[in-house]
Amino acid sequence: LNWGGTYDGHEAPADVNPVTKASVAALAGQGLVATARDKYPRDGTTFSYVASFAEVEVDVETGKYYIVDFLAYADVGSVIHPRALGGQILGRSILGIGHALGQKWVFDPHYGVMLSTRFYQNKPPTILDVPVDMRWGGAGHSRSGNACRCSRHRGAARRRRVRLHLERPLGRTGRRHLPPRAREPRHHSDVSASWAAHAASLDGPHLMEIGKHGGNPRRDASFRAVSAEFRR
Amino acid sequence: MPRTFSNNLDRTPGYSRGGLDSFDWLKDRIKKPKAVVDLSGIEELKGVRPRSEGIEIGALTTLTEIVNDPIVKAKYSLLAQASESVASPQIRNQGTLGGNVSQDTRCWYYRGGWPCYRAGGNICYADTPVSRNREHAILHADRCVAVNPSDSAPALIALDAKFVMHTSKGEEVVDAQDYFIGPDIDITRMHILRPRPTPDGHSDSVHMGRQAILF
Repeated sequence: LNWGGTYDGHEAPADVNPVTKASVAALAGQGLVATARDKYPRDGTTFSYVASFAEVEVDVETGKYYIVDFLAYADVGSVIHPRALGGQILGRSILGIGHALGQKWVFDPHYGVMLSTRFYQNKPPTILDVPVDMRWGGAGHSRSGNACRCSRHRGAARRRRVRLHLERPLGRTGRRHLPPRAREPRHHSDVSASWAAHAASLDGPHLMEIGKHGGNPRRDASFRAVSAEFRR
Repeated sequence: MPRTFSNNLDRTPGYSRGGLDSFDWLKDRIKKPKAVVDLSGIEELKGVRPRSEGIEIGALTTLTEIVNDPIVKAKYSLLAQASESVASPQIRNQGTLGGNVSQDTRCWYYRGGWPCYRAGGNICYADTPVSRNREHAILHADRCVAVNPSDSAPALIALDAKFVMHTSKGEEVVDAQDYFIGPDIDITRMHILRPRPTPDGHSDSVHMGRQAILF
């Protein structure tokens, strides 16, 4: 937040929609704000609309890195099953981390032969490589109340609050400001009412805290110790 | 599958194994031994035993056993840490310390069956100007730029370990740092334990040694 400028919403990129610019200006100064326009080529390939934030600690002597904090925020539209969505977002994020840091197909350029034929050469990330604190959120229309803004639901007191502004964060009419239950649920014809009710009942903690649930306590303890040492 | 350790073992024809390193070669059909001797039945070479000068670790002790061993954890935590950093839990359950220090290099040209210096050819594919030599040696490289992949080796060298080997010539004790050799000494080997392969691609003897860490 202290960085100001493009980091807290006081400046928006020139190429974003005027509506987005207005929204960013309204959020300015409240937290970390990221704004971007999709520039993917329209060549038949499709990418997910996800913005990711990572806080990384690097041991500058050895190059060993630790991903301390991670948040992936996806523009996904209607959320039917939040936990499944969270699994998708974080699962693919872990694959992305693997692609960025450890995995590579290596071909010999002279002979054209693939060299990285084993997993010890093309290392996929394991649970020990994923960030201890890994969160996700979704923006867009939600059928289950506030499910989409899950990153703000829990742990706000002890975590830095990150607010992300995407192209369409408020819905078309800004109905986010209404109490969630007062909203008229909009069902697709192919989704049964019971499913919609189930989805609504899931409106709750959608944070996936790997450090707390199903994580490796020993790893977390040592990790926290290392992190504390770095922070000192 | 022998049950006891004896010097007769190294006169066994065929190819003997400790475990994980060999299977990659066999899976890629690069080495085709006529027979494989399973050493896992030799109880004498398993476990961590206290000695007056330190401890003795059998070559067939798995890395998981070393990581969980109370003596190693208390007195030689460097070795416990190094052993724990090896690969993944399943591999540590199966892999032995003897195998870890005696594995061949993981150079992807050499392991891919390319006829390089190390394999008896006359070129280093990893050292040509356009080759991909990530994870290879950049300092003090001789004709071969491969490195030793053992995670436990630096710990054993730092702890001044001694390696006890039973060979056809009898018992031999070497310092850990002398056990690992560079290509300037013998380009076909990473260490002095592994016998030189015969021309048809398989080793004619095996020396699974017994290692002692003496202090």
